[in-house]
Amino acid sequence: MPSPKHDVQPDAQPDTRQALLVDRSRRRLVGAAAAAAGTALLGAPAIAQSRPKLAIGYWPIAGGLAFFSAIERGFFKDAGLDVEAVRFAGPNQVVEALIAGRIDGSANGTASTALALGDAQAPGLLKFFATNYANATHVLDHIVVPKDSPLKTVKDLAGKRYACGPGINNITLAKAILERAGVPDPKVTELPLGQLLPSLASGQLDAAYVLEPTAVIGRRQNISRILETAVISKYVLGDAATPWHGGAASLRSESIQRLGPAVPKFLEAYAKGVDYVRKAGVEANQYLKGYTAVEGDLIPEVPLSGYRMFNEMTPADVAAMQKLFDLFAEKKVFERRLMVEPLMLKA
Amino acid sequence: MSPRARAWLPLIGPLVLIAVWSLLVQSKAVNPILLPGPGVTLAHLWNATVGGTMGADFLATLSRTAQAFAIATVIGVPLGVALGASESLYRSVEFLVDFFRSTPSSALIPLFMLFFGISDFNKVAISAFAAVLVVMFNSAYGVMNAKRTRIMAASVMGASPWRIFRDVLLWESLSQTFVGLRSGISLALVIVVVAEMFIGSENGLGHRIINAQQVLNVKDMYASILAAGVLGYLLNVGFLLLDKRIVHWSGRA
Repeated sequence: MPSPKHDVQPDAQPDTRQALLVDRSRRRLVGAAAAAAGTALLGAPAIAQSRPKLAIGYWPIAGGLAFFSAIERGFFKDAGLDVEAVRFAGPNQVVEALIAGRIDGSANGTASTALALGDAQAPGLLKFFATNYANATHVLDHIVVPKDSPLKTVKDLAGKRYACGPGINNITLAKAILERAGVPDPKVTELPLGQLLPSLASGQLDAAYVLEPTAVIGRRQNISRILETAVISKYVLGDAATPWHGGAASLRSESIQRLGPAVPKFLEAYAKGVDYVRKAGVEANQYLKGYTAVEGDLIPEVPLSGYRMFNEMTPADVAAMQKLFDLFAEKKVFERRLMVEPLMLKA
Repeated sequence: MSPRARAWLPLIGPLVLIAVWSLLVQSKAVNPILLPGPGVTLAHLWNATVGGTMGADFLATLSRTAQAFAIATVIGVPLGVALGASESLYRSVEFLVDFFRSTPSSALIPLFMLFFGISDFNKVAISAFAAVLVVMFNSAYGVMNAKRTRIMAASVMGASPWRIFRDVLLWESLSQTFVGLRSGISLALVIVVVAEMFIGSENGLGHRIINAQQVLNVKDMYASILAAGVLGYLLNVGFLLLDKRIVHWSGRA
């Protein structure tokens, strides 16, 4: 919509002498434009009040599918909300923006440990209102090996060249998998994500801890095969069926206060997104396009995350998430033990 | 200005930086959780160096930078001088030098991993590659821009081309070579830190920065950034001193 304000401004403050020279029709035009600007200015707050605005940060990974679907299928718009999806390069940038107050919340897919660290730095910063999880049904995490590798289980990785993506989060999980599988003092090499498959292909590595869609790409390109799947659930959490709540959607506590009655509407619309993904299955993956790097014929192959809205979380879910947080405290990634329960939005 | 007052001049820059930094933090223009004040950061830097692992990371980065720089010097200076001595030779490879000089080395990480594998050496190699181009380029230009009068004087006195090269061109180019070495060592440090951040590493300041960033340990992140800056400054000062001693005639001839 063209802004009448901009059209008027150059003429709206004319020099007095110039104003006298302005002919009548021009003056009428200026007057009309000024009136239009005034109306627009008066109208603006009314519109803002009727459509609460929320900026939600996301990290371009498949875990955010429920949020992408809710936007693309117009669930937020139908609820009378103006939700803006703000893209960030990594979960840490999302958390920093939450602390700085530049966004009102995070979409699913944002690392739950990173969000918890943000809340530890700024106590009471946020509440989780949905998690996204992986397990044996909703696959995400695997150990992959070159396609002709003779290795049979994770236990065989003792003394082998094993790598993961960069950063302390990946290293902590990649090491914990092997430790809990009984491999003493495992060594893990950090590599850029894009280098894991080439290194497996060139024989520089024996195995790698990866998240999807890396394993799908490795299989399609005939480079790698999955050695074991759901390795976090199986080894770190103790059971392949236990959900690994690796990501969470959150709202800033201050935004919850500010938005008041709009919050339940937002949560309801978000839950519709979750529900849509559950019912539509891989068809929902169409909304990965534009939000993530996944494109073309890879789209239907990306596995779906499981989701839990805050009012669906069971004590077992909270306990599973706490187990993950405790690993990070034990490995000194967290300076102290962080608790899941106070972070959850209460129904 | 008295020489005594002059000696204090280099302190003005850091003091202004610290003043602006503290003003930013104290005025709450930025969230103190995301940007700690200079006092807290410097104290953390001190504690992490004295009682923690900062020293080890500092030395790891220094060692990689030194290796990369040594490789760049050993290859870059002789190659640069040789290229500079023959202008036609230089023109024939000029495109390659300028092409790779303008390519962000960090974008070539996959290529280097292909050649050097997942060993620690790939970080040194990519940094050496970036530095060698700067060193070579400057050495070549040093030779090419040698004062014509001196070359002519030597040739009039009957010096052979080899003698002119050894006794005139090499010395003439030293001043420009040092400019290249100084830029080269700074670039080597930057690329080593970037490689430690993005290739992944077990130690080093870049590794420390990325890990601190991931766990929102902003004190450690900014302390590590300061440590990298201090390292760069010290390397530069070292070079200036060396430059003054070795190329003592620089600018006076």
